[in-house]
Amino acid sequence: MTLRERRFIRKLRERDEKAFRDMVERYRDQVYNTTYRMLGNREEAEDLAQEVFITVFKSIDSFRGESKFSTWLYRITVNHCKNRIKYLARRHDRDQREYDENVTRDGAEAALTAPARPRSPDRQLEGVEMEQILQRCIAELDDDHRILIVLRDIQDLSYEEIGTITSLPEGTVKSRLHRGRMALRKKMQKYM
Amino acid sequence: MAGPDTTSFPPNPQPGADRRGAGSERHADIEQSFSDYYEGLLPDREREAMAAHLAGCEACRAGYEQFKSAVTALSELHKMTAPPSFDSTVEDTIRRRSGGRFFGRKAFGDRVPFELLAVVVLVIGLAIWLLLRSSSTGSLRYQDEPEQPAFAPGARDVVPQPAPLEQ
Ligand SMILES: [Zn+2]
Repeated sequence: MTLRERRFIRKLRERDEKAFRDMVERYRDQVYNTTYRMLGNREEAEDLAQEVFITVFKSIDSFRGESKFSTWLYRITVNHCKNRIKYLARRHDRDQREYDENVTRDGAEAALTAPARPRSPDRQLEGVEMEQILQRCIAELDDDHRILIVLRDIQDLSYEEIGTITSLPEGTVKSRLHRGRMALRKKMQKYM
Repeated sequence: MAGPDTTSFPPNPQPGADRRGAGSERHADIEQSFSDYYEGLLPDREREAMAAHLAGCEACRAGYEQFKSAVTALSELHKMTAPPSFDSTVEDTIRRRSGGRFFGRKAFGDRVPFELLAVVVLVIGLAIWLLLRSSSTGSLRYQDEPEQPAFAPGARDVVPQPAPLEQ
């Protein structure tokens, strides 16, 4: 940990409000993108991302500085996601229809509002469809596979960091991720 | 660290040499290495063998293309950004849950509905001011009759005359 990071952590421990504000501003998109891709629903993703930061505020004393702060933050994010996925699974039947609508709507919105490179109308439709299909396929994966795919292929983290976040040996991360990717490929074939 | 299972990966130095003899096991082995091949993690010899197999095996090549496009599409998903109200909502929640201990500039307003109180005070103040302005006495005392002159015109006995001096 650098001196600067150590000072930053100390301020967080002192519940310095400005330090906390800076931290939220710095990491909110990282956390939100992770929760959104894990849950596929804007409202749930926002609510969960907020819980992540509230947990940081409450539990910063338990951060021992053995990993990077962002790794610890991912760990909290992943744990919250796992719990929320379980909770949502219990509500699954009741909410399935609503969930599908959100995925479709959010996927379309996301792709349309993305500051993407200029595309022809045909290409834009393709992009929207691709995001929708992909998000739907991610949502259909087992949560173990989903977590690894989001961390590696969407958030672009190293195997070492993913190992620390998930408490899995790197070899397990690799083999499980591979199975997740193969499962995703299979699911995407249905839509292609 | 457990690396890819290289013992089960039969190298194929001659491109296309075992196309006919390769069973489904061989193709399954190839599939097992898609991730490592995609990420450039295979040792040179295995990577070359893999490339050679893909060049000669249409099924594996098609499978790998699908795999690659799925993984590439994941990395190209655009990054979602948190909504603009995100920060203030987090702070509000912490303030509420901590009973105003943190982010508590509005702590008093939490216990008493401060905004409502302010509006009520303002309305009362305004009402008093209007009343004062419309009152001719400049006070809140109510006056129902026009002011009468202190004495009737011509009244002489009102002002006490000085007593005549005794001679
Ligand atoms: Zn093959």
